[in-house]
Amino acid sequence: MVLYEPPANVTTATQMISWINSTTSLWLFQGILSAVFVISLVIMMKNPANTASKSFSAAAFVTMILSVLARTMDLIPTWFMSIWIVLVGLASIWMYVEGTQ
Amino acid sequence: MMNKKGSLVLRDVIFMMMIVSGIFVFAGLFISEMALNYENTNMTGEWALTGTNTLANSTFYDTGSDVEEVGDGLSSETSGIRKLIDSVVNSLKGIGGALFMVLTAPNTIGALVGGTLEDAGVITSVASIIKYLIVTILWGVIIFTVVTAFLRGSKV
Repeated sequence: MVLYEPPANVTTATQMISWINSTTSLWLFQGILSAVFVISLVIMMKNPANTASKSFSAAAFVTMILSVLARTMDLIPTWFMSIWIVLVGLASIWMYVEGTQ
Repeated sequence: MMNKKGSLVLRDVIFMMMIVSGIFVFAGLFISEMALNYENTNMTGEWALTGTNTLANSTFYDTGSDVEEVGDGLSSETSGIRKLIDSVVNSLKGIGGALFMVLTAPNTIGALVGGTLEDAGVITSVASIIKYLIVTILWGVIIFTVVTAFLRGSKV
């Protein structure tokens, strides 16, 4: 049983990544962006000066910017980009409710 | 920020509406510009010309027309009592329109979230349920706060 089409004429790293992304239905870059979010969230939360809401909104904002760039390059679907925009909005409400300075 | 008692009051909801609307509007502008500059028609087709942007545009357009009315009212000739009354009436109408938009902030938040979810590909029925859930919860909180404020004689 063939789960995916084998790569054809792949000679460069760019072609390899492009093939992986298209074969996994754009999930490669969705995974990369999610990993960027988690890593930046954890790094920011390590700083005791940052609250959870501040770290979350900063990480979501960084990921949102990257997701728009990735969407422009057709690397991720639109719904994935929309999720980060909604998350930035929710994070701002969280910051407001918590009274983050 | 919430008050010391930790209760959510009407002005908090209005501030939240302004912040979230601002984020959605600027995100919409960012995406529209990126899609236009890089000629990505998928983005313009799926996001820039639907739901959120339409809502944001109409909200801004309403506010803009209200402010324009106020400006017209204030800049109209004030020679004679009739003109003065006209200008006051126009100003009050404009301010009333803007105030009404602020008072319906919970509906705007619900519509923005619902529109964004529909853009994201969520089924319309699910998006509507979430939208009306948000609107109901926010109005419930506001009505409860106002009633409690009247009963206890504290701030609205």
